[in-house]
Amino acid sequence: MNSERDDIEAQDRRDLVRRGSFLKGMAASFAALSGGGCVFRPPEGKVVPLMEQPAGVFPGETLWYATTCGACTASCGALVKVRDGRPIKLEGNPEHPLSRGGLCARGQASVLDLYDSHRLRFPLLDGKEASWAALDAFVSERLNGVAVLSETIVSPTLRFAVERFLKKFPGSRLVEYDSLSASAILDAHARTHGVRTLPAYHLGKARVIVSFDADFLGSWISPVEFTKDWSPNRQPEREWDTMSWHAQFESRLSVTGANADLRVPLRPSEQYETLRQIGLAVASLVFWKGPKPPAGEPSSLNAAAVSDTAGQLARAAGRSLVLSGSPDAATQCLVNWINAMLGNYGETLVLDPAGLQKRGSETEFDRLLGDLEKGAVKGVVVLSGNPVYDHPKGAELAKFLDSAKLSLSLSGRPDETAVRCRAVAPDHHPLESWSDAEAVSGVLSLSQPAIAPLYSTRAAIESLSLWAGEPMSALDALRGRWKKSVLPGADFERRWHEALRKGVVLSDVKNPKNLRFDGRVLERLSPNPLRSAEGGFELSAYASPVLGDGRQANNPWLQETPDPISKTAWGNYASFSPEDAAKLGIVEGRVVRLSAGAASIELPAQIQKGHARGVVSAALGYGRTHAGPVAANFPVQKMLPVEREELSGADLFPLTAYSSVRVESTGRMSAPAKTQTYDEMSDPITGRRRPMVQETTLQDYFKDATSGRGKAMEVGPSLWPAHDYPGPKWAMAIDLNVCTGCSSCVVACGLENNVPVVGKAEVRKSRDMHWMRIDRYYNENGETAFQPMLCQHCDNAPCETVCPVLATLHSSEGMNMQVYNRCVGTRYCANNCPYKVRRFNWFDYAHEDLTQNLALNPDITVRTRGVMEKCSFCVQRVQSAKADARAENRAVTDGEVRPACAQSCPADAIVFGDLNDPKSAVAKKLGDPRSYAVLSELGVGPSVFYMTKVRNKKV
Amino acid sequence: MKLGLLILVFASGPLRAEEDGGDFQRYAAMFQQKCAKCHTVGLGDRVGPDLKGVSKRRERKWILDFIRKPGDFLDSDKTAMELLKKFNKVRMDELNLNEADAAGLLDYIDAASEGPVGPQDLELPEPDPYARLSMPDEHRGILIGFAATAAGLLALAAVLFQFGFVRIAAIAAILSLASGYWANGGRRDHRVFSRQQGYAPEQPLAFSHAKHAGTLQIACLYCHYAAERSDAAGVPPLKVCMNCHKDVKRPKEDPNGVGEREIKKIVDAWERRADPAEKGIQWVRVHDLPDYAFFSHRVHVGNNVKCQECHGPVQTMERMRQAAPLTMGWCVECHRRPPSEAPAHWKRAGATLDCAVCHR
Amino acid sequence: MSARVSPLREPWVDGGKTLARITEDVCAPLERGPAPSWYWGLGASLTALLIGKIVVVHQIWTGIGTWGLNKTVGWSWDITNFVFWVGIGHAGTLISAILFLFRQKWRTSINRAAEAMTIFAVMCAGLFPLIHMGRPWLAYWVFPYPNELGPLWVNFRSPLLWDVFAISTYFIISATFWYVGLWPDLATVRDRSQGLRKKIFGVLSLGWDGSHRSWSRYETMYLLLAGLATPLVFSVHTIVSFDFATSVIPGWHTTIFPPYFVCGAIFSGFAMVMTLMIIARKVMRFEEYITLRHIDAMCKITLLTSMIVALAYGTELFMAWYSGNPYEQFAFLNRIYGPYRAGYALMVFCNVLVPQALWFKAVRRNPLWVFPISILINVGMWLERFVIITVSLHRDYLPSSWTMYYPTYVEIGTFLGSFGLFFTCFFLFCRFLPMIACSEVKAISTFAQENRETPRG
Repeated sequence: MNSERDDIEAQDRRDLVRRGSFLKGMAASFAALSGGGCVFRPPEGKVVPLMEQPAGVFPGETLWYATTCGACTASCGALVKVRDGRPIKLEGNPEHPLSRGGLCARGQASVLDLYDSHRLRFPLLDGKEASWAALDAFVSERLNGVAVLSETIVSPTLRFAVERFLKKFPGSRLVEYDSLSASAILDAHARTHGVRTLPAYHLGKARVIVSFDADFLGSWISPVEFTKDWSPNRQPEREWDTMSWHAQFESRLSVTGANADLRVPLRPSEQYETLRQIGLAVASLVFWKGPKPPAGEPSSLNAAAVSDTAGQLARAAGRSLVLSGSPDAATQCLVNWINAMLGNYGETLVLDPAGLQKRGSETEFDRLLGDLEKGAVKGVVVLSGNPVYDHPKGAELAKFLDSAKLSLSLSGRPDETAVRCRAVAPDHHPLESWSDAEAVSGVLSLSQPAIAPLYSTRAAIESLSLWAGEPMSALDALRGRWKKSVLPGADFERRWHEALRKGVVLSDVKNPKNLRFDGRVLERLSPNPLRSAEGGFELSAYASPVLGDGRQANNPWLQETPDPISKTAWGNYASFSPEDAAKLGIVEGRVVRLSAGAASIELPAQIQKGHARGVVSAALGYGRTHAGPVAANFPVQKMLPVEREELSGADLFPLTAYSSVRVESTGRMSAPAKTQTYDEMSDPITGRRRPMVQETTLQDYFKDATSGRGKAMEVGPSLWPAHDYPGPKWAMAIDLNVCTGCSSCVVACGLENNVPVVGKAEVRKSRDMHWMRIDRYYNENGETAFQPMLCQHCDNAPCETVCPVLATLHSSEGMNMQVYNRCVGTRYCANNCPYKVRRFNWFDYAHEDLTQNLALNPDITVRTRGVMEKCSFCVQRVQSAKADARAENRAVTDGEVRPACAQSCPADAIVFGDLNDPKSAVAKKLGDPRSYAVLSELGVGPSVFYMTKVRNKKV
Repeated sequence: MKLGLLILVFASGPLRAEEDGGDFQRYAAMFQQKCAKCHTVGLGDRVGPDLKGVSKRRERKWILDFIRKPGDFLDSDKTAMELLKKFNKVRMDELNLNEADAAGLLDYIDAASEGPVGPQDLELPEPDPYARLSMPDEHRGILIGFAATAAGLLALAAVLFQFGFVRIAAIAAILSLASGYWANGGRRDHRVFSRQQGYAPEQPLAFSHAKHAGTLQIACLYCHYAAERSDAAGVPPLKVCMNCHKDVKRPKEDPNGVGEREIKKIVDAWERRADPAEKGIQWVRVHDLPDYAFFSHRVHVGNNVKCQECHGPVQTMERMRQAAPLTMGWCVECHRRPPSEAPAHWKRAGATLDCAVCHR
Repeated sequence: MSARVSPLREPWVDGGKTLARITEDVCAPLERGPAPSWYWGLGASLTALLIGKIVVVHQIWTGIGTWGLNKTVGWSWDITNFVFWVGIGHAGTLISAILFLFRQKWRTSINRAAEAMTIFAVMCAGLFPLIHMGRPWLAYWVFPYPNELGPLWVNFRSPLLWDVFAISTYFIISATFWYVGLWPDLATVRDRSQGLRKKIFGVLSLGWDGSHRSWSRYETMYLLLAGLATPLVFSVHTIVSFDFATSVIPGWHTTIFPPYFVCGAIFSGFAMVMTLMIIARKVMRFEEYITLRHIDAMCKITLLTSMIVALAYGTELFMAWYSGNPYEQFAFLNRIYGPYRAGYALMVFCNVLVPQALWFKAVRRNPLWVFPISILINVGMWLERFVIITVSLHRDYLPSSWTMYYPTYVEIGTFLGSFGLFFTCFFLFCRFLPMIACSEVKAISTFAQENRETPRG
């Protein structure tokens, strides 16, 4: 019945609301409460069958298609779950060689962008609806001498189409840029290796990783791939010294820094000199004869850390890796220098085959602005990206867009750039279009449409080829190109379908060039491009792992997911070190004004442990003016009077043109919406540490595998008889050592389970609804630990005994079940839950956006207000796995059931399975000496186990 | 009766048979999927000939080749061409069978020709919604206890005063009556979201299950094919109707032309299918579970639960009717059954009682 | 029954009243029009009731979210008020049932009012478990009744369910007890009045005819019901305390809760009785029936229970330290030093320090002293429940989910409304029913004592 139900879902929901209010009315007027029963009949529902069922499609059956995630240029492989013709979930494609089944928070959430009712529904001409014909006519006569401006094009087919387009119109050229630019890295390689390209990094091979402000586990270049590489080396269950050593020198506390073994706060301006000193130390260790770089301004870093780091690097020569996120080419040159000295090129980072995720060039962008100034370029075609918003010089570009002969955007949204353009030819959402992607040369993945275009949009490839005068469908273009250059030779059809099924093919790169490091550039380096700010603060602008560069700012799920470090949702904030905060006399939530040159923004202050002094850091991607109502932070919960704030956060991009800013405090306060308000592992009164996170060092671990596992208080006998589990006993193991806190599981869980989004005002009231949350603690040394916290499905669950109406019970498979439709909402269970993982529906949370409702999972009830909800171990997945197994007369195999969180985890930190099966992965994890249960001393018998966090402290 | 029985056999998914169950069931299912729409075994000619004892009429080899490549035969082979003429030029579909499958199918047809296989006829009493409301005795005990105490207290007062006795007695009577009413079922609750039993709305198309499932004995799973592999049974797309009705434009006997009129609706809708204005057949939902209850057809069909066990004697219904109350009490009635009491034709008995099976 | 009272003992009724005079005095409020002060009082309480009704309707219509609760603090003012009101009720039952069994004659002039208070308090208490539900229109699911869900029954392991039974039993028994006690006086009023009132009281008094037989049966029944009510004084609040004692939350999971709660209940109950009586004796001009001696006696009980409560506070702290359980220890330190420390301090001040003044007879016999003290005690007892419920919840096991709780206008309005309900009922009671057990007072009046004939033989 499910599928038919969905067809009339919207209808039904409206009825539900009506019924609800009917009953409420009775209750509110204190009429006979038990009345509503038989007097009431739901309205007639209609079932309208298809005319013709497509072959192989069954109503209510789930289909999976392999495609490519379009959320960023990392282009991870994805599987899209299609139910009755609707994509409802994105998951990682295990066959993709880079992402290997992982998918980040942004990728997970991008399915909601498809159903965003604020996408463009038709072409625009001078801001008014226009027909495609009119638009094409308008565009095609203005195409001479235009520049195609785009963020890095990862699709070879699209690039091919662009090239043909450019050939057709002499004087036109392609300018690529990146909102999160890696331009400096490319430029540096142009100078040191003579080829302007991004290396392909192989963190998996690196035993020692030293990163300078490169948040490679969070948002740097290709976080999922890097996490997949990084995490296996963080498992200590091996022989001595195979656990990698990871040092992070950074200006603010990033997700990557939070997971580092050695973490050193460092101002951006000190990076050059620090790298140089490490470089010199390494040089002496590896007897480097080549030229040396000139000194920069002194670094506050102590010599010990330098020599130690250098020592680690040298010892792991060829198996080490130095990374930097610096926007300064000189600094990047030093990075190349060190990697070259250590012989890491060809091992842990490779220039050919190269990384293609970022190709943007700042100089090119500036040249374009210059040419527009001179009038050498007549018009701009913004192929993708949103430069007006997400480039520091966006404002200048906007000026020309207003005046240029042709200003055309292919954006699918009325974003900051599109609204400044005269013509907009909206592109499909990635889930609606045929395309491909080559994130690392040789790795080609396909995107296929999972649904017919919702609105009157047109694929960029089609638009370009049409304007170029040789119209062809995106599919033909794609197949044509693949037939020619990817799958040449016989039986193309078979291999094409094979590729479609897998979603990815590997084509070996022809005769890779062996590029040599050229040291002569070193003398010519100009040090100190960034001066440490006089008086002011240095600015460190970063992309948060959840919102990235803000292209998905209208995505309610990303806005509601808290930043892994600050645990703040709905808006950005300016972070200061405690010392600076004291100096400025500001408290958490005090609104401060950051200004440099003409640009000036106001943000609430946030006091951040481990933050570098003299630096203020804030997240990009917020403060968007044309993203839609969610980014504009309208109250998601309609029923209560929430304080309206015009924008969620403030736009930092204009400031990124400057390396330092002035900071002054405005008198006002603006409380951040935090999902976790107390940060320490120890309580504030006794200062005694609580044992929920158990950690040790690698040395101690090898002395005693159970080290760090505090003495648990012994548990008295249980009053209840033990359950017996004839079938499976589901359980979960979470490895604290590899959990990076990236929050991809939080989003995956929310989308899988229709968890409501409640909005800023409610999050401020600590009413976030996340079933899966990630607790972030600082220990006594200020080190960070992440702990995913979800329903522990206790054997002696305190919640089960107290519910007066039996709305929460224990299943025969060890799960703690919550029956929404039986719940009367006394909240006793939540009070009695030691883990505080139960969530209460304080209101009827908004489901007005019927388009957005198409993303709801039809296997899960949409909860009404007044009922309790919580993690169910994705029981719907267990059910369908069991049904599949029965249909094939077999037992459920280990690893067949994967809850949304476990499936999405890029670090494979979460293992789920049957404890009654001794061979199952989770049973093995339980046997591991590192495994412990949180609050086991209460005798509640959790079914979720954690693995002690092991820090690799060499010093 | 035999006929009725074979319908049920077909109607109820894979057959059970003593000898080599697995294959047998597979081919029984395959027969419904591929053959049953045109052929019967021992139920007379349909779109195609009755296949009862076909392997006695023709030699095995010929049949096997024929059903594997009907196209070629119908163009070349003499016997085949005669048959084609006899069955007014309706060509047999290409089944793309491999050798093994063809043989298996034929074995199945032979076995079926021997006479009924599978369970004997099912009794399907119309379930009484109130039957399940009668409480277990201990619970009734509790309530009667309540009633007794209340009555007792009042009786005490009555004894203590001879005056006012009438009033007290009256109250006592009311109380005990009320509790008796509760004890014997009380009012029907929790029906807010689900349709009443016996709901049989007018449909836009006077489709008769009695005709198709009853007289014509078309397998349930032929039209509701999704029930086997998806949670939803699905309402058949128009194409499925057209499989037969591209040929059958009017029933054999059709007084006052209702059949012809109704069939015309389908054909017209089908011919206008390209036209976006054509909204298709807007059926009215009969079986509508509340949104918080999840029922899986494939699990139940896979467990060999007969469609009729929940949907009632559909093959006798002119207009579709909700036969069962579809209340939770009614569902768990089956789920509670110990294996000893479960019907023989179920594969598994003693289903789970975990809430999460239906409520998530 | 008892011997002739010694001339040394002061009589419990002043002004050497004749029996007729007593009847006159007690029935006076019913017969003469009420004083303007009564109208003012009723008006005030009706306003409060209206405010309460408005916010409750708003809350039920919109959702529990209109309260200040959050993912960590799932109960606060709602259950605090519930426990508070149930506690208030206890004094009434104690006075009317237990003191009756112990033949405490001084109870006679206050027991009816006290018991009325019990009933109204329990009504207020019952309101909160109902409206604190997320879906109050399904509240009937907490009762075991036959249904077609299988049938699906309630969870007999849940303390919340025990509450349902405890409270409903308590209400039924107290109401019956109170009503039975009213019979003779209802008859008196009936005989003194005409018209509609005569009819109504006629029905209510179940045709009482004042014969010896009705008297003897009346007294048997009253005795039986007193026996029935007595255990409830202890059982009800014990069960209420189980809501917390059986949980796993540090600060809730405490074995001394049952006695602790019962004494606290009687403590606050008596404070409330005093508050009401001191007002009533003035407003209804009953100074000669509710004498300073009565107040004195109640003060003594209050003082006793205050000491017991103080002992409980001490024991809690000691056990927390002695248990060696870090969570437990923190829970109590958090009460003293945590964000809500002011509440804890005020609670100790009101419940432990203030009542010490009652050691002095001068204070006990001076309403101007006793009245503010009784108010303070009720404030303190409300805070005690708030400290136990909210302060334990807001910082429990995992620091990640520690939060603060602040009430909204809806919760405050609801609390106000419960007072409105309480006082509205009480004012109506004063006006339309004999507020003093006329017949019983007559039995102990000096007049009756002196004119009783000596037993023969």
